[in-house]
Amino acid sequence: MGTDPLRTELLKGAMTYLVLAVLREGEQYGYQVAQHIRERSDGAFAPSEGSLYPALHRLEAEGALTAAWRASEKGPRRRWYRITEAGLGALAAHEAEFAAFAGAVTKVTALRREPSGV
Amino acid sequence: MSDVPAAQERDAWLSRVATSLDLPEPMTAEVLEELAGHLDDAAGAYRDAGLDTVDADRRAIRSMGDPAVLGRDLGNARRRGRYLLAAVGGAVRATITFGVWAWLALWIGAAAVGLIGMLIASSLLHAVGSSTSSYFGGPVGNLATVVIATGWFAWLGRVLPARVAKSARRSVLGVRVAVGVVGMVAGSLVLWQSVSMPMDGVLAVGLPLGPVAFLVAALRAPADPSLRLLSRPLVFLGAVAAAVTATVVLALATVTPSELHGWEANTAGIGKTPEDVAVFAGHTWDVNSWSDTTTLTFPDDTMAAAAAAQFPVVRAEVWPTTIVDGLVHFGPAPVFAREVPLTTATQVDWTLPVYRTPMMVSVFIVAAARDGTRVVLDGRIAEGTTPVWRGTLADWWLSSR
Repeated sequence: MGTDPLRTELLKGAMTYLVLAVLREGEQYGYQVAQHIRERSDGAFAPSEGSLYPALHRLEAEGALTAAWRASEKGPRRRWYRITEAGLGALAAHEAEFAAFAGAVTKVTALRREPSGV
Repeated sequence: MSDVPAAQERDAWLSRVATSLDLPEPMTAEVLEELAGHLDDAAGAYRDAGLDTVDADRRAIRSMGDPAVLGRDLGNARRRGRYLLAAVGGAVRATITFGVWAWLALWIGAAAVGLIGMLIASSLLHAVGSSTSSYFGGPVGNLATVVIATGWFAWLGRVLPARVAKSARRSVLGVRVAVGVVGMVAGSLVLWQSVSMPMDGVLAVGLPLGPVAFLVAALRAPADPSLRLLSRPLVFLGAVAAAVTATVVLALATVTPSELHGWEANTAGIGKTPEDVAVFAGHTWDVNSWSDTTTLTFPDDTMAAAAAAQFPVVRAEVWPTTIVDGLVHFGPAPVFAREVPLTTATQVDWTLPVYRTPMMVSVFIVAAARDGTRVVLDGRIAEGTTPVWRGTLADWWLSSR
């Protein structure tokens, strides 16, 4: 997969959604979140890994996530993030919004692929 | 590939993130620890995939992207939603809470520095054989005031940025310029327009330096402006104070105070004495002078009429005065004069003019004849100086005298 500008812009908009979705499955630290996004998307979403952290910290500041320092499975301590009730609510709203958005985009692009004949 | 060791590259990358973060020290350290952990995990994964250590470290760094952009975005995320409010609120809170401490410190510092200033002044004046009186007031005292005020502003400028940065969730580096400029402008406005006080040339020139000292100190403000009692500057100041105190005590013990009360005045230039003028010689009248008014009463109308016929007016005159070698000298002309007709009961009001530089004056009540003859009915010679000029800095510099 490439790193074209369109994909980068789409990823920026979807980062909050992706982070919340990954953390819905359990507490994780930053590196794990990045890996899970990459693996789940089969490499389609391979952002610069640094760009993940502003999203994590912003969501924490907004109350969608909580964070705590704790040792990782490899030993050194890591900052573990956990989704909150507010975060779950935000995720649900994101999902509904995204579904509506994707549906609308699909309808428009389908019209262009199959123009109505006369 | 660069020859710079990967560890140095990693440190440099983290350092660039820290620079762009613009957060207080503890928050910066926490963010950097988290990012360093990510780099370790990523490098470990690349090593597991077959890369050597150096290449794995470098690839982990590259995968994180531009450190300046990351630092900026992370800093904004940590301050998100309340940055402006926190910045303003933090500045106000820090100024108020710290102001209480600063105010106390001002007075403690003023007492300490004032005492030292007086001791230094006394010591120097003893050294040249001058008097032993107090030097809290006048130019020396005002110089001490300037030193105190400037030092206080500098101290405030050194400490305040760290407190504002903490409240506003920014680094000291990020707020120093803003705090310094705002403090200098606000301090200057207050000093120039709002603070009305006894002023002289020393204060008029020295006080404006305070806000400038604030700016200079703020631009160099440290992240942790703690003041340790055993720090070198304080130990040095303590040693100086002890040495000066010892010197003055020694001077006071060895110098004999000079005699100040043997002066004489020659009032011939002001007018004649009553004994030299027939209408007054051998007669009695009462002259009562208070702070700004004098009454003159004659025992009977006959004498009053005789005096008024020869001396139709009475003048209150304020003359500049100097004492040189025990002899009182008066200036060439009075700086204030008011005259009223001489009657049985005469009252003349007078006032002392106010100058930016106070001068010693004498007040005379003079009876004046049409031919220019003058009789000094009462005199308060070298009684004091004109009132101290009082006003704001702006008034001082815009004043014509």
